[in-house]
Amino acid sequence: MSFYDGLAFFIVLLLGCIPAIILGMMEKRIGNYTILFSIGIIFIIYRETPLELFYLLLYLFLEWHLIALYQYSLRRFGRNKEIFHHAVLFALLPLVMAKLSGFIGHHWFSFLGISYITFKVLQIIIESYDGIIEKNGFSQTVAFLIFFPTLSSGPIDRSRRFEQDFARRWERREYAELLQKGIWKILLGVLYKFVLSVIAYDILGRISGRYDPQYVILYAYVYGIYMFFDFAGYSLMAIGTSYIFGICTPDNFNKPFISRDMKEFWDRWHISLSHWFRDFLFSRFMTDAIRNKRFKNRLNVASMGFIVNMLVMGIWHGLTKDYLLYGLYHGVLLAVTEIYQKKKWYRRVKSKKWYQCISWFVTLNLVMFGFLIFSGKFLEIWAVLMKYL
Amino acid sequence: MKKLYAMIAGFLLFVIVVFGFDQYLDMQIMNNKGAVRNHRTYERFWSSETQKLVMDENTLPIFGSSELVSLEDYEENISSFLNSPDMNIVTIGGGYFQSLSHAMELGAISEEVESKKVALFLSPQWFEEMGVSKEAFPGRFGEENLLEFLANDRISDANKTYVLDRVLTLLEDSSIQRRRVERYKKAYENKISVDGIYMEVMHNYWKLRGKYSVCRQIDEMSQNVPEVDLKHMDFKEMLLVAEKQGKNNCTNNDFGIYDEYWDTYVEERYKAGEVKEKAEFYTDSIEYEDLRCFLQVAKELGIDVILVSIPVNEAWYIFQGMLCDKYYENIKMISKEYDNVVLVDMTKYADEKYFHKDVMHLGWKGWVRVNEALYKEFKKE
Amino acid sequence: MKHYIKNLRKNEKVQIIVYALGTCIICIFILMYLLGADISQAPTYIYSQF
Repeated sequence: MSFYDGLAFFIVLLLGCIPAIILGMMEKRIGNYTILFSIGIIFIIYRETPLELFYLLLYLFLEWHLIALYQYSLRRFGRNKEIFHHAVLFALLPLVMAKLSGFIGHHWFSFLGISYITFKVLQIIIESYDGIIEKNGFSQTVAFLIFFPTLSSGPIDRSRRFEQDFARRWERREYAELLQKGIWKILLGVLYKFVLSVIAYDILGRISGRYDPQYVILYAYVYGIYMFFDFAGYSLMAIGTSYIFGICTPDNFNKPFISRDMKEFWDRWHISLSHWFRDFLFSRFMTDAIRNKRFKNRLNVASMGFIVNMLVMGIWHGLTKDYLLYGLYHGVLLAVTEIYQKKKWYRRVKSKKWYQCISWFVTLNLVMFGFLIFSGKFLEIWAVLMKYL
Repeated sequence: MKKLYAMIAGFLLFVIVVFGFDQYLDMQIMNNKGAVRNHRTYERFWSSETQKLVMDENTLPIFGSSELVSLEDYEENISSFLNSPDMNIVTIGGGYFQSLSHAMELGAISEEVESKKVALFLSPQWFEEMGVSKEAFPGRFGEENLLEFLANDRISDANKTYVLDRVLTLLEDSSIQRRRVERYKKAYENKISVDGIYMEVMHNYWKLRGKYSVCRQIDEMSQNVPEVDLKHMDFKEMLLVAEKQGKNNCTNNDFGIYDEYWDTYVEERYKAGEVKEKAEFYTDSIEYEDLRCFLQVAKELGIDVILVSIPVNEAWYIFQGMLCDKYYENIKMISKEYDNVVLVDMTKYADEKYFHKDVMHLGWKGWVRVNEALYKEFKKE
Repeated sequence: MKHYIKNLRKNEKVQIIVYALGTCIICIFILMYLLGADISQAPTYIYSQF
């Protein structure tokens, strides 16, 4: 049994939601029950892979102490860059170990959800350094880190926003709204992930072996549609579930295929991820580069920033050529977007309907081509072409 | 709040629609009883709900394997057909459906077997050492039958446990199916649990799906199922007809094997020559245990079993160095162990030409003899 | 036209109908798909006649 996978999980989920719904309708705080059920379901799911359970618990133990120690050090020694860098390094260490040990055939520290939980820990540490967060309470932080709907691949929430909802006592009227929205999102998510994405995947299987141009184009589009329904569906189920538990996890997808340019696309696709990178990587890169005058002009900074940002995002997906190329591709596209949107002609045409149409169409195709890279198909075709020539 | 009620109303509407759909499926099946009974597909074998809807007091369920497929050619060969005003059949099984599958199927439909009689066609080929093959079983495994079997209160725990364990062994290489059956086993041992709810949901899902799969096939079912008058059938006359049909279809060999089969599968081996070393086959097999399970289950359900022991094409098998006499004896002995079993021993016709149509399956004269015996046994009080 | 659709979206009665019917229809879709899909994925085994 795994998260949102199989009838047995949904039965456990349904049973688990009942107390939450009762608490919510009775205008009581759901928080303590949330922690209890999260722990319970983690044991049920990770029980089948005891090593992963061990790593998860070890991770929580170490990272909680890291956070507590780091916040203590801030109070004691003030804002120290070296200590900050060390804290970030330690926070990243388990993830790096997990990813790298894969290359030598081991799975050190590897557990389901490590990629996402690392974002949460890093966010706490960075915002502590910035002075936005002062102290983290133990139970709230643990709840934030192990909140079960978003544990394995869920949208990446922010600790302060989460803790606000977590502490809140909802009025019945408010909770009924959350419950209704939550159930709706779960229903939609089930449709997306278990019906529509499977249909798309079937189509992919049938056109996979063909390298004629029309099939390759079709493959890119269908892969994009498959990715959308699979991931958006999963996110919807996770978000819907969190609503039922009184947490308004932010949306992860917002009609991405109507995007009119690449910047807008990343505001509509895997929103929690791109926003996280924007806030904690891109903006830091920008302030650092501008302050230290590393680049000739601001435009170059932004473009470089996008490339670095997206490249890291690509690496985060996995250390393979496909993901690196994907990251680089989007980085370059964003850099180019940044450049042309500063031009005079852009300012003239950007509100025109015909321009928006063209821009939408071009963006859509660039996005789908990006999925061709992400799927591995592009490099596969490239290899075949190289052999031919 | 209103939107929540709206969604609840919507869900209730959905439940009503599903219920109506279920009723519609039942109606479709019941309006096509004859056609469904004679429609031989896995979907129909797997849908115990369907089988239960199409049986009446004159129905004899026949459990068997690949020999049942030959019933398709009833236009050419009326002797292989059993459909008369006072008796009709529903055949369950195709290639690689053996005693274990049939035990589950029997347990699933027994309460609607009004005649309280069933027939089981035994083929020697079932009795390989490891019984039914692990490669073939997953694709022929019907979960609905297993779940109905487990839900049948008249069957003992011992038999249910035996069947569950056998099924799990045979599903070793089919992980998705095996994992589900593992849950069913846990649910059976512990009914009030997440697994218990899981089994309930899956059970209802399979029942609905089974009927839906069959209904989708209704358009391709033959609606014209010829009727014969079995009461006044002159079986001696039919044997002569069968002899003629056999002669017409077997012109290129002396074993009574129809021409196309001879060319495709047998001629090469024949040319290799007779096997001088003879040995007894099918004497040691897990299938005997599975067979006993079937017979015990039938006894627990108050069902009489007409056990039809079908022989091999002796002329050919001896040529191949394979003797089955010990096997025939074994079946005779087993049939005596149960008082609800009547043995229709066809093994005395093992060397009759045109009894088989190939090396193992019932042919022209075989079906005439089997039909006559089945009719007689079915009508006996 | 845009305003009409916008008002329609905000209209409570429309929302109620959408959620009620939507729930029913989505559930029907999911069930119909599950009834037809191959959830066994049993390995195929085509036997030889002989």
